[in-house]
Amino acid sequence: MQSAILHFSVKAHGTHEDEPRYNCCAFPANALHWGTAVSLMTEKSELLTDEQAVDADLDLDEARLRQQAIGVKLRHIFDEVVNEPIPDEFLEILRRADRRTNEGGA
Amino acid sequence: MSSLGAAPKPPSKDDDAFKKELVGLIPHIRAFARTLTGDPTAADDLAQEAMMKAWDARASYQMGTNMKAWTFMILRNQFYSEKRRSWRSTQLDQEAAERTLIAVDDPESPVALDELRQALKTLPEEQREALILVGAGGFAYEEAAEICQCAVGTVKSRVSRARKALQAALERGGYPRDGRAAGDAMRSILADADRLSGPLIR
Repeated sequence: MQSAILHFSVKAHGTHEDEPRYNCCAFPANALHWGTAVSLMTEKSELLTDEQAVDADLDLDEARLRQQAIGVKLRHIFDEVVNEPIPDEFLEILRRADRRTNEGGA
Repeated sequence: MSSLGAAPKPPSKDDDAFKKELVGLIPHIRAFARTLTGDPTAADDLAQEAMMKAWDARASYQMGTNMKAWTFMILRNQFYSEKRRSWRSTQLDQEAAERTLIAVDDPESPVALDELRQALKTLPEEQREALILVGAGGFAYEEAAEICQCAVGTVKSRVSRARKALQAALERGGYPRDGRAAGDAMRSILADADRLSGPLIR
């Protein structure tokens, strides 16, 4: 669970949210020795039972999904306004400001 | 127009370029104002004031630098100086909240967006603005730090706290809209996420 929390906090910074997540129990790519891998896995299993590991994985998936979902919604809320037509008042203000400048009034 | 002899000053090339770029930024300035204040009317007032300030300060803007960040900084400063003058009293806040509820009561708008809008309002302002700038405005942490005039690490921690707080708020539910049970918010957010991630522009 500890590792899940750490992992989540990294994800929460939003830089790698779309990357595939690497399962913490995956066979270590650089473990040349089968014995090394086995001992690593044994160590791990002393910390977490299989069920706990699965629970932690699910928690992690859900937390990540939720943060992604919030990010998508947030951008949607923002973009909704961006995509609205510009109210004429805004352009009128600039037209007036321009006229003032051109008349030398500043 | 002007009287005889006082020929109108030809519009400066710089002014034209500035104006063109500023007009292009209006939608983003409005979106930042809207998400910052949570109220469409107050937001447009704020955005218009910021736009006028930007126009008046155009001599101090260097063409070619990040005008979006520059205008966002002006808007943000305007927002906080108005708050300090506190012409937006508690009573007005209440009215604004009611107006917003009406404004977002759009059948086309997925309910979960409203939940997030409401949850955004519960965030401290400094967290909300950091999250909006980084999470929706397309700014890097470094740019957001410049806009907010604070350290990059501060922006990072505000964004992170904002995300956690939003998630907690959405899980608690507690936005009594349409008589739906608390806790539905997160489920509907999750359900909508897939659909919305498709047509996103960014």
